[in-house]
Amino acid sequence: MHVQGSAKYIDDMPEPNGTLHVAFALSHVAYGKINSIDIKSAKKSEGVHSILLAKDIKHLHIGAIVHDEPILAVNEVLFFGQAIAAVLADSHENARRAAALVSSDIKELEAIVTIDQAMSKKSFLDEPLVVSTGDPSKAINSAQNKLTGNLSIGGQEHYYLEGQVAMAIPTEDNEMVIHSSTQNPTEVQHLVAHVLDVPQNAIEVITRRMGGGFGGKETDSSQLACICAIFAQQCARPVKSRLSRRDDMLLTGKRHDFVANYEVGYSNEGLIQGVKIDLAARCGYSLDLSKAIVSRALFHADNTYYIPNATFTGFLCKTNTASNTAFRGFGGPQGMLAIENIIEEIATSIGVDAIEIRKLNYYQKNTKNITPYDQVIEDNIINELSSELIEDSNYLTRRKNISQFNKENKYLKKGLAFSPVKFGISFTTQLLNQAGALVSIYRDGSIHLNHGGTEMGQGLFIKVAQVVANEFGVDIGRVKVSATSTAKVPNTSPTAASSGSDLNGMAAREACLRIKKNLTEFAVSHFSSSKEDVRFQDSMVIVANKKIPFNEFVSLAYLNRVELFSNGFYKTPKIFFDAIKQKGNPFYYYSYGACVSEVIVDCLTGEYKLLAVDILHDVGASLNPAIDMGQIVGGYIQGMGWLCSEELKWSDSGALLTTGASTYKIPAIGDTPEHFEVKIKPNISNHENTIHKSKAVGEPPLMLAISTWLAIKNAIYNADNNIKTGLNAPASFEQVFFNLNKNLK
Amino acid sequence: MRFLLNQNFSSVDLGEINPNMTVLEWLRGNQLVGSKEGCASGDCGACTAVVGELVVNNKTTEIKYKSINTCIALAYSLIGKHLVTVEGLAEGDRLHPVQNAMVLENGSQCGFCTPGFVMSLFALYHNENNTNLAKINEALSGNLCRCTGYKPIISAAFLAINKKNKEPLDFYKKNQKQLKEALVKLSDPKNISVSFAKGEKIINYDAPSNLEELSKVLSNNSSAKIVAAGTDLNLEITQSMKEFPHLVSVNRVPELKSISDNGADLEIGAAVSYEDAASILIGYWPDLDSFLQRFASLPIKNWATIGGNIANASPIGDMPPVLIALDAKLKLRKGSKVRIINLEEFFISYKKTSLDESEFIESIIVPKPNDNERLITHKISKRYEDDISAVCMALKVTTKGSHPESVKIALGGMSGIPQRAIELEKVMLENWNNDEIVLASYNALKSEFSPFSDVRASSEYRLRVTANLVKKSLLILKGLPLENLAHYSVASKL
Repeated sequence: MHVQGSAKYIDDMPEPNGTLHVAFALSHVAYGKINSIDIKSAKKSEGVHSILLAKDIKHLHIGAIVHDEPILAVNEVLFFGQAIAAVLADSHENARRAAALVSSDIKELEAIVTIDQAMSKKSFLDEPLVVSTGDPSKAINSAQNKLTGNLSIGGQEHYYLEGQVAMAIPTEDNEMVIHSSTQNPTEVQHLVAHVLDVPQNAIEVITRRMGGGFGGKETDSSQLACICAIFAQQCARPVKSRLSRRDDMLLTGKRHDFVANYEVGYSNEGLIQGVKIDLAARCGYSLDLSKAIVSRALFHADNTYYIPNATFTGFLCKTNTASNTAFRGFGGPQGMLAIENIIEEIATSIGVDAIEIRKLNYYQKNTKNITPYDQVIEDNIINELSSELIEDSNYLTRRKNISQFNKENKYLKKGLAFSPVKFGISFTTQLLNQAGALVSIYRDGSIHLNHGGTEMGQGLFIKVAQVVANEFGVDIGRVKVSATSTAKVPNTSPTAASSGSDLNGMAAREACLRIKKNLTEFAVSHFSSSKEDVRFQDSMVIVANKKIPFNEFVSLAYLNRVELFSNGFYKTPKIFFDAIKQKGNPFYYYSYGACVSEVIVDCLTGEYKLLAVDILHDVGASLNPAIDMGQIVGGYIQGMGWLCSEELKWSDSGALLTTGASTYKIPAIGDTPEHFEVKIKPNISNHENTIHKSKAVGEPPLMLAISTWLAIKNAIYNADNNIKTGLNAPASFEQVFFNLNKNLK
Repeated sequence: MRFLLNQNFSSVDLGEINPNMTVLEWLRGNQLVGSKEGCASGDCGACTAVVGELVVNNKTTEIKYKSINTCIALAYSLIGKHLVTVEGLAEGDRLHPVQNAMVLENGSQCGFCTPGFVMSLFALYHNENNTNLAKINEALSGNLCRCTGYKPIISAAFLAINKKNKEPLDFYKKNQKQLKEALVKLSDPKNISVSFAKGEKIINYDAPSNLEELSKVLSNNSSAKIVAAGTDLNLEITQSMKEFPHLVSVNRVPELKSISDNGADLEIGAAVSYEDAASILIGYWPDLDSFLQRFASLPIKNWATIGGNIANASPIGDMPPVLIALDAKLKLRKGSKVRIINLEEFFISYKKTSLDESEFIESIIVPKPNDNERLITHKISKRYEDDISAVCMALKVTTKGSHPESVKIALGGMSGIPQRAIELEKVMLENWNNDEIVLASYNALKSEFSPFSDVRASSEYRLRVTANLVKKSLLILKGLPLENLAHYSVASKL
């Protein structure tokens, strides 16, 4: 369907008769008091139906955790690009044209834009979060060596190819159907019910597919759905909206940018004795999911390293920028980059290859296996996985070749780096680790599957359908997965935290087991057989020596009044967390991976090219190697974009300047490394009882790209061993240039 | 007002539509929703379709197919052409080989960019019988994918083209003759003139079919906006929601579409596309090959015109600095009055040119190189594919033996206009045998230029990197293999 262009996204669906369209008017000021908003000329604009301001909306505030986000700015604007009015018109173009005519008188106040400004003004959304173990101050002070430094880590625009879009269709009796491109239909349902002042059962949210999500549609889809619903309720007509790329980039949050300040004490061999890292995150004007994101950053600031004495402190900086939100990795990548940068710094200060420092500090199997948040790591495979990749990628030989190349070339320099990944799987908010599914078998033996997860390209629908097909021993073609709907499976968690297959796969399996129980009992009584003699395989139901085609058996069961549908439910076992002490077992298990990157840098211009990437990644016993491979390759490239070419820029007064694909550069085809070897670690399985012993794969591969950033850092170091690289992320050509050309000469 | 659409031999009539309407808008309004809007600015390629038009090649007429961005092409620009969209590839239930390859290699995840990739692959498949990574990268340079990391799409491109000779001909090869006949029937040399009534407003569109008529239309309508490809102009429609009251297309004027060789000079019609101009220019200045690959994405190069790029007068247009360095001249026409000026005098200040009211660029005259001339170009941007320059530099060096006779340098991105760097030329000549030229270059630049800081680069980086590019140029002239890293291949080197 995809390759024929026949897969329908919301904007492709035929619009019901009389559909109206919404566009937002946006603030041109980052922080200010609203004196007045003038909608007179907008109202006269062609095709305009009506215009809403904050005062016209009864339940104005929405939000993921707390309701601190007004759908339209009220009294004050808190970031550049905040919606100040919503225009309803007869077409998308007319709505946008009219929205541009809304003018506002806003008294501009001094905005807090950067992390530094927020830190110095103590502008926070909440108290700092602290994960701590041992006594790092004492350990650092008594260590043989000490290093301090800071690292600024850029944010990232999701740049899902399909922008935010929603359509609200009023039906009857205050009911409404919402089509939303969202990872979180349940939250959209609950917030729409809230703003419309109707019970949740009056709202059905449907998500067939998204043209990419990456976290950007976990909470940021609600505002658009809500404004469509409010208009639809008012005028009793279908209302649709899709954001232009510019509006989307202005209105919605991004990956949090961070500033890391660190202090580390280590032995002459490079063994880490103590670390202190302050991780300050730019959260934007509202809380959104920032607390969980910062806390995940803290949970990953150890990465694969045993640190006996550590304090990781997270600051939630409140700034006059769009509210930063979930993005693949959810804070984990930033925490991990901070510690990997430290490892690299220790290696250069000692003058050894950084893999030696990594190996020396790795978590071990039975000792040195407790994280700073007190979770005991039971599934550690990073030592053997690393050795395997170092061998496979020919790392040591290439290191020698690179030294030789660098000796022979004055202006071109190569860099090489290895980096490991350990990523914790589970929502750190415990209640979200639950899922439901609904499986129905029809009389012709076709199977219908619904679950709470949403499809955004990650292949979840196929994976869960595979689980169902496998349970009934039928071909996957027999299983249809329909759009995610809050009317089929209620109270779902967002499709996020890489948890989609883990949670929904298990819930679907449970539903299948319940139906199979019915079918087995029926077979036992109908054919006077025993339970052990009933098997489902090869599209047959086998009862002792009898083989009955699956569809015939189902039909027979129906005639004998057997229930052929069931729900299923799953909650992740073993996880618990004490949020006050920041201790516990937030993760069910960990996923591992490692990556080797090689780059070449032009010292005259700062330009570089990624030449080679080798990846070895752990997905347990893969549910679907092709899909998992797609996630690994795609995740890696997305991470590479974050750390290399994707640079968000704001003006001093807080206006986002990168608002389109012409100014914000995600990786293009030529950024794919020519040598790109990706391997799924073979012959392993999850030690926990996950669905078919597989592991989550959505987020972890993104962090493999840290090796690419480290390879650039290494190339700069190779150009001149005396350079103390202050390389930050992203490593734009300009930044690399100034690292290499500190002085004019 | 007719064009061919997909596998239909009978043409479609666009009728009277708003001349500001884009191809994408027309498609999606007519239930052809396979082509997507990802950016509405020609940057992401989700809207990519393929356009076929008749070209005369060695006296035989054939259809040439090329990928374009439908989001910034005007619907009326389709007149007389053949548009192929993603809906037009499969034959019944049978997928096109490029679609099949995408399925087999798992080239699609969320699927939103997929139709655009499929169409770019289709154009590559149609035009090539064998391929390599460089060709694939160029063919897909205008398509962004946020999910797959491109690897499986590259594999799909290799798979489809490597298997091409084992596959039956696809619809468009099989039916070349009939399609050509249908297009010939549509080629009508008449002038096009439309008045579209929108409420009380009248929106005009003219597409004259000869130079004289074009001059007349422009002389009679001084406020009319000239549109060639519109790859920049039409952003005002899709991004700023502007509606032009009168558009005049230059694309049907044969005199503006031709390239002639006058012995000492090449004369390139203003409405010649970059892709067409490139093949000629590269023959004379091989260094332009890698430069033009990075100049823009392929769909943009296929559509955008050399005259449009100049008249648009963007300070960051990449071709003007090159043409200034090459001593190019412009032939400008107003009515029957023709004048020829040096390109470097054309640009006055930011987006302001010496074009008079109703005057237009007829052609660009480029002197052919002598044996002792060499062109060197540099482009600095944030990404190698499809990106706007932070700095663009072009140098033409004339040597006598091993000594430099003259140097001409022009820069883009360093000022409000594409501008010649006269002080820098002196520095380079004076320091020919001195590798430590950076500081002197920097000072010369600072005396002549004060570039902006913006999202693409800081002012200081622009100055510093340009100074280094002078040094890099000298090193290249001395034979150091400092190729641009954009095309650095590991194939033989890892």
